[in-house]
Parts: sequence; structure tokens; C-alpha cells
Amino acid sequence: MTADPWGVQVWDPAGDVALADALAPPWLACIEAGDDLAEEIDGCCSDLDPNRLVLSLTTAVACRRQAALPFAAAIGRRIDLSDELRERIATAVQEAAINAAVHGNLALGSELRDSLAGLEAFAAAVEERLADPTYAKRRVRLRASWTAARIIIDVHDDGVGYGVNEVPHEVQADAAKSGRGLAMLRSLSNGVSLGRQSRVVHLFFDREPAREAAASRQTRRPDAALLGAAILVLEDSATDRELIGRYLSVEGYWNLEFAMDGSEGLEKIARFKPDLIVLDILMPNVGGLEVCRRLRADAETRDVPVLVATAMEGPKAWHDIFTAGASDIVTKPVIRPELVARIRLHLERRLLARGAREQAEQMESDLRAASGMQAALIPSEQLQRQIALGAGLDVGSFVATSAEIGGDFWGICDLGGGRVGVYVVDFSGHGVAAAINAFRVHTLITEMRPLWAVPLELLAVLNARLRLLLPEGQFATMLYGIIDTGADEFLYCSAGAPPPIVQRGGSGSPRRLEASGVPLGIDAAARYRLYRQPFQAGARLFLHSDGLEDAIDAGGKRVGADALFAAIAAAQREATAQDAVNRVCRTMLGANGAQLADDVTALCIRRNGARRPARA
Amino acid sequence: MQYTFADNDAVVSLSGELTFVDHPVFRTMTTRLMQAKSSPSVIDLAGLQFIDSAGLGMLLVARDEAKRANRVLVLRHPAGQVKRMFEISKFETLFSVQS
Repeated sequence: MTADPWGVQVWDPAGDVALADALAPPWLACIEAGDDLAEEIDGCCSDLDPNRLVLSLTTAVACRRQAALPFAAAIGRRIDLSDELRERIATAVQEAAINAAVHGNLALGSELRDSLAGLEAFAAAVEERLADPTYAKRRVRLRASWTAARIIIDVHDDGVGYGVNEVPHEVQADAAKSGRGLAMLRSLSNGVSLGRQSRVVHLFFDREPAREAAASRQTRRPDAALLGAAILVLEDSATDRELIGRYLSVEGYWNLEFAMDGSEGLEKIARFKPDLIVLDILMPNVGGLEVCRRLRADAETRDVPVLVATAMEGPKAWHDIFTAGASDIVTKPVIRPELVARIRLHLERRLLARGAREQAEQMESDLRAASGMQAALIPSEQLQRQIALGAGLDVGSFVATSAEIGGDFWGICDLGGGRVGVYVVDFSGHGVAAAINAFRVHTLITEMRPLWAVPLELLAVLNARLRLLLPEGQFATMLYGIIDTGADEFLYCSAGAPPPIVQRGGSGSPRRLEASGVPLGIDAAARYRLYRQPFQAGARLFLHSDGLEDAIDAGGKRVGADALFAAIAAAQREATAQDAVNRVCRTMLGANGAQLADDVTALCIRRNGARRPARA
Repeated sequence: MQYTFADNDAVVSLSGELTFVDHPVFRTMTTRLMQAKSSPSVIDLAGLQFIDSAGLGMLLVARDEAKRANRVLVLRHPAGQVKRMFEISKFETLFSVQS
């Protein structure tokens, strides 16, 4: 085994290609396929990231050796897989990998394979391409990673890709000798999408026990309560209206209403009182954006989920759409599984939110029930671990509320490519009112997934929405940042939150980073600033809400910022981020817990690994 | 893929996997099957553990070769993953399959 500059363990028995060229972060493990794939996979992976498995194959190996079965078996040795799921994974990976090798890397079509003579000619064409270094040096890369809920497998080629924009929906029951592999991926998995101009296939598998009916694998049927939801489709194109209507009917939604333009739509909304609206943007007589704004300005319709279906794309379009008040965006042409999944998500959330809000409002005096809601705002420990491990981070958190419920929360999200988003939000005020707003904002942030990669846009949109949502005098502070382990950077924006504290690996002392910005919900025209900070292996980041410095100690005094720095410096030798943040908070708040004037949230995030020398 | 012939080459039993990498061995097997004296020709799949879409395509090629030679081709006893692949791709509409 050798280690390349990125610390990746690599073994190449053939020694053919410069592997540093073939690999890029965030591949944490790579095995070159030799004679016994199964043994190699196990042998090379045992010391490395337990939540990820990577296999890099030369095109020749992908064409001549059966790799999908050992790959699926290797996943099965790391996590619990039913035989049925392992078989589906193996079959899907086989299809994707062969496509990547033959159509992607070797750029061969399948027309020749129509007869025995054709099979022979095709085999000759494959061998001819494999003898040409231009094609032969291309690789097929398989990557499997998993969370508690699902397994995600990517199959990359280095060539021309599938040559299609979309995975077909149906397997053709015809006598074609080839071309059914891609459509099969839909039946075999719980989701499939293409990327990188169709040079990567993403396969998603739910990690649930195998069930008997094939139908249960594809989309779990929403229950009766959801199917009775009133859905209004606002769309000027008759074709799109019918298509969306058909998709919804097939799914079982029966309570549908339609409108052809914005003004008819607004009128029907008032009469029909929909539970969810599917909205087109480009419509005559009051366009989609205006409909959205009016809905959000009216207390009756402020919280109705609005799912925009549009061909418009890109951050500027999304900014306009979300700022106008949309809950989510589905791009046209509409794909049925995506549409029904999002509709279901928003309806489920609406039922949950309605139930939770009613509960909280009538239980002002019984706070214990509402504390379950508080717990729902904080990422579960398991989720934290999964996301953090995937990017080589160690995350520790501490949350304490001044009453049974509060307005503080934090979150972490996986942006892919070794990047992780993290945020801390603090609502002014306490008690039930703050908690309801916190729940609302938590929902907003979760919905704005397209904006997680663009911190400035995210804060701008949240600011605009909170300005509409919050009464005068109420606001929220927020720190949103992206830890980019590939670029060794921490990018962040602040809306009035306490600045992050960073500590270099080794013996660096903690220091505050520059971070300023107006809290959310105060000034609709507020502009935020994107800061960048180098953040390398071994470094620690400390994020916290105001409450940590504002606590009153045993002597009746406010604890203050200096004490915080001293506590962070003292916690440097703690082995894990969780130990570090616990120690800091215990020091600041006293072992028995100081009297909390405000909720306290604190995060410690450490990048694993020792500080590396600069890349050559 | 491995195979064994029986019944004067009228029946061939496949075992192991039938995937893209098995093109050459499949050709050899099919050529011999098509040269058997009697018809129908039977491909017994009971021992086959795994098949991909390329393998399905190869079976269809065998079907076409049989048609060209005025033979009947029957697939027998698909099981496990192979059976499930036949279902996903609606193979029963294309082949005479005996379970």
C-alpha cells in the first residue's frame, strides 16, 4: 500500500497509470482491481472510513471482470443488508458500471449486439478500444456511502457518459437486444439520477427490510389522510395541467382543483382553501410570483405549502421564487417520482406543523409536551455523526434552554463533495412564541435545500421571509457557514450572531473571526457579507449563541467573553469535540448549571487529521 | 458462466453468472446448441445465480439464432435474481419460459 498526497491508500498491482491523476478528493479509499476483488476490497478498506467504500476500476477490468457482486458483498460486510437489497444493489451497480465502461469510457454503442456474428464483432470492437491508451486509461469509479436511512451509490465514467438526459421510466418489453439496462435502474432502486452531463449515475436505496410486494419498494403509498388533501394546480398550459393532474390521480390524490391563470387561481384559493398549491410561474393575468406574494401577505394563506413547477433555473430565479414565498421548486419537465415525493413531504409536514402548533398554543401552561418539539429541531446524534464522519469532521454540541422550550436551534447539512453546511439560529424572546417561530424557520431552512450551497442567497431569502413573518421588534440571529474540506476553507455569513471562534491545530490560541451583519427580520434591504477563513486538518471551530456569554454565574455576574476564551483554550486537549464543548459549557455555566437568562447553543467542530504540509 | 450439455446437446445447463463479460463463452455455447440434431433446444437456468441486461440481450440473440435455424428455444427454471430480472424486463412475453 502507498499513500498519495491526499492521504489516500492506494494499491495498484498492474502499476499502469499514475493513480494520483485518476483520484481526487473526497475518495477516501481506493483499490485497484487485481485477481481477487473480494479479498482486495476487504484488505485495503479495513483501516479506512467505515461509512464509505470506493472501487476504482480500469476499463479493462470493468469489461472483463464481474465487479458488482463483490462490491455489493463488501457493502454487506459493513452494514446490515437483506439478501434482497444486496441483490438489487449488485444488479443495479452491474448495469451502471457496464454502461460506464462500454458506453462512457469506450464510447461504443450497442447496435452490433444483434446476432451471434454481431456479438463477435462487438467483442472485437471492445478489444480494439481497450488496446488504445486513450480509452484504456479511463476509469470506472464506484462509490458507496450510507446513512441510517439510505445507501447512495455513484458510478462515474471518464468518457462521454450515457448520452441521454434522463433515465427512461419504463423498461420496454420488446425484443431489443440492448438498451434496457438504464430503465431497469428505476425498478431496482428507490431513486436514480444522472449528473456531470450523464457521466455519473446516482443510485439511492432505502435501508428498510425487504418487503414482499415489488410495489412497496418503489413509492410507499401515502396514507388516506394525505390522499384527501385539497390540491390546487395553477398552470396555464393545458398539457402540463393534465400531466400533473394525471400524476396526482395515479398516486391516489382525489381532491384536485385546477386553474388556468393567476386571477382564476386566487379566486379558487379563496373558495377551495387548498392544503397545497402547485404553481406555475409564467402565466397571464397575474403571474406566479405575484400569486405567491399575495398568498404570503394574507394571514389565511400564509402557511399553505406552495410548490412551484417551472422551467426557470439558476440561483437568481430561485432567489426570486423563494423570496416571493414559495415553499419548494420542481423543475420542468416534471418527473413523476420527484413531484409526488415533494408533494407528500410538504403535506406531511403541514399536518405535523398544524398538529404541533395547535398543541403548543393550547398548552402554554404545560410546557413538557412542547419540549418534544424542541427536540425535533436539533439534528439527531446519529445524523450528526453520519454527516460529520463523511467529511472527516468531529462534531460536538450542547443545547440548554432557559425554559422547557426555546428559540435556539442548530443544524448541519451535507452538501456533498466534502462540504458540510452548519448553522446556529437564535430567536429573540422565549417560550412558546419563540419556539413556534423557530419551528417555522427550521422548516424554511430545510426546504431551501437549493440555497444551502450559496450562503449569501440563503440569508437574504430568510431575511425577506422573516421580515414578513415576524411582528415588529422580533428578530433572529443566525450564523451560516460551509466547511469545505476539499478547499481547506470555512465560508460563512452572519446575521447578528456571535462571531465564530477558530483555533488552529497544534498549539494555536483561539481567536474570534470577523463576522457582522444585521439580524434577520429587521431590515428587508439588509445585505450580508461572505467571509472566508482557511480551515485545515486539526483546526477547531467554535460556534455559539448569545446565551453562553450572557449566563449569570454563581456570584451573580454575567460570565462574559474573556471567560469563554479561557475556557476554549483550556479545553484544547480534550480528545473529542463533544468532550471539548461539554467542558467549555460546564466551565461557563457552572457544574450545576448557572441560572440561564437565555437559551444556550454551542457547537465544537474539529477537522480530523494532523495539520498537513502545503501541497507540492 | 459455465455450462454443461446433455441429451445429445439438446439441453444445456448454465451456472454461475451471465453478464457482459461472458460474451465469448456464450457464443461458444450457443453455436454448439444450434448444431444439435434435435429440436427443441432447452437452456436450463436453474444453476444461474446472476444475470445482467447484457445477459438478457444474449438470450434474445440465442432466440433469434434459433428462429433463423427453424428451431424452438425454451428457457427453463429461472430462479432467484434471474427470475426477478425476467419479471422486471417482462421476459415472459418474449420467450417460452418453463418454471
